[in-house]
Amino acid sequence: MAINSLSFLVLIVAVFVLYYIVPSLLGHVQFKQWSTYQNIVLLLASYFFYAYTDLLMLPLLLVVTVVFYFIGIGIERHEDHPLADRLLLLGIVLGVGMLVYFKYTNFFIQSFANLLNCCGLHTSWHSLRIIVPLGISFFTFRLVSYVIEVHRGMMSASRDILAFATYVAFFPCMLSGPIDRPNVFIPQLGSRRQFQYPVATDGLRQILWGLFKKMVVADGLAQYVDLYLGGGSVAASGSTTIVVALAYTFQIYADFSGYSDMAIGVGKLLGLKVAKNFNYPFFALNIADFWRRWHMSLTTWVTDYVFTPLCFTFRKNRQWGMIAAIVINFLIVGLWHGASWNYVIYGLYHGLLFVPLILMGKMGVADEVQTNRLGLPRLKDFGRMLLTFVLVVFGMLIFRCTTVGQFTHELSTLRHGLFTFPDIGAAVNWLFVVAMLMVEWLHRRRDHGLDLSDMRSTPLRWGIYLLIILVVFLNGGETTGFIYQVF
Amino acid sequence: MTEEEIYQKLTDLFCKTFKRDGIVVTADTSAADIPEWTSLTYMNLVFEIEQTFGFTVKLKDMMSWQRVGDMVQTINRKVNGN
Repeated sequence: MAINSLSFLVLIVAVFVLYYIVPSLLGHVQFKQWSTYQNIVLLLASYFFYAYTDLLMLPLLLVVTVVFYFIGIGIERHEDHPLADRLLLLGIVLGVGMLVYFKYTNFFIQSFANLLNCCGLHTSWHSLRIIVPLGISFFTFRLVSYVIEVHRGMMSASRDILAFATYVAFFPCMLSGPIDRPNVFIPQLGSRRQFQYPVATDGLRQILWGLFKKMVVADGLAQYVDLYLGGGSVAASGSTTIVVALAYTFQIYADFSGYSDMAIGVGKLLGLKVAKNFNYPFFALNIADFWRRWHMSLTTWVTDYVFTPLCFTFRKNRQWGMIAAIVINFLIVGLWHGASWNYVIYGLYHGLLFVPLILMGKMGVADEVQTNRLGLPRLKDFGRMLLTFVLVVFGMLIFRCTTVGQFTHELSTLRHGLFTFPDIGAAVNWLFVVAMLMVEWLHRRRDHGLDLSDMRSTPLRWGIYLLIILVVFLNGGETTGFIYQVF
Repeated sequence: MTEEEIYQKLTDLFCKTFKRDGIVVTADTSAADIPEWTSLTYMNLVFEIEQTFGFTVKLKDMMSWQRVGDMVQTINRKVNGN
């Protein structure tokens, strides 16, 4: 069930009615546990959503939820005792072990078999038939985050299994994130959520902006990108390969940030604050700035639980310790996406891009982009944005190629036809890309691209909504699955 | 070691680590107050604190530091047993 599907719309309307309208109709009934009632609605909707998509794996989700719930309580109960450390280790091993088993077993078997074959030792190892549970990368990270936060004393262990299970399985974020933090999300489930008109309407605007990005921009570019990077036999000139890499960069951004906008918007409708996932990454001034703006819920997760502990461990080695930490960190970011060498190279590539920044001491928060009188970036900052963007596009080409062979093939196309006119696909798709970038540039200091909460003119505001709805209906490309749904 | 002495030593360490004279360190000073504060300079600062005060900082302690006051509390506990 995709978040932009009709079936999801039916689900969210049903949830909305049960979540808000039933409690308000029965407002005269003195029921202190309306928050519990709302959590039951959310949890049942989440399990229904998960079962609808992946029924076989629902028992796994139920079991790990219960196990981690008790691990959390155990850690808290044995605070400052070695048992708490052992329980934390158990939680991490279980969470990471589950992820490794489902996602990486076959990768390790194949890679090891290939290595042995290279050494002349022929094996007859076969891949195992493992079904990867949907959303496993997201819910295991939520579970691991929970036990670490409890162990660090940043939150109390949840004694409300309903709230805890709702946090783990919250349906808008189940398949593609954002990866919410337990110390922020679980407390929100502790009290009754009242319908707040300004927040809900802002949520609807964010959903609309997400729909535009996903169904118009991302889906519009999908066919063109697949034609050249889908593993088919269509030959591309060098210039076309560059345009395709650009198109894929915009596609994945519009696809993933579109999904995140919709998930955050649904959260707002339900009175819940979901973690921000993107902060206009194409306007980043360097690669560190880019990663502070791209897939933020993952990058803050790895920063807090991988990078910082690694830096801490390597602190005696000063900048070289930090370089080692960042490279390991990005190898994990790469591998998190899937079991494939292109993701390993993608992670390594981004890790290495940090090396000059660390050596120059430029890892700190980048300055705000300086603009000229026309509201456009000043030449120096534009140059920095452009350089960062080019590095990101190259990384996306690594990310998209399914094999190392395909990547080297794409690189080899750059040797000829670099100055010929490229195939750009349907021009209208690029028009939508430009529109998306312009709107996001203008609203780059706002919460999301369609944050029009301060626009006074109601006709103008509604005119914009209707225009976007019309564009979504008329130009929505052939629906494709969300790219991050497979991770 | 008195709290005043701890603050004095920390002021010297901040100036040395962030390569800037005149940094005023108070209990409420945090990363937001020091533009030179990055992951690298922060780790260098932690290392310098260990060398100067003669104890090993635990990751859990470091993660709980939101401002200099928290840092001083840990140092006080480790050095003076308070």
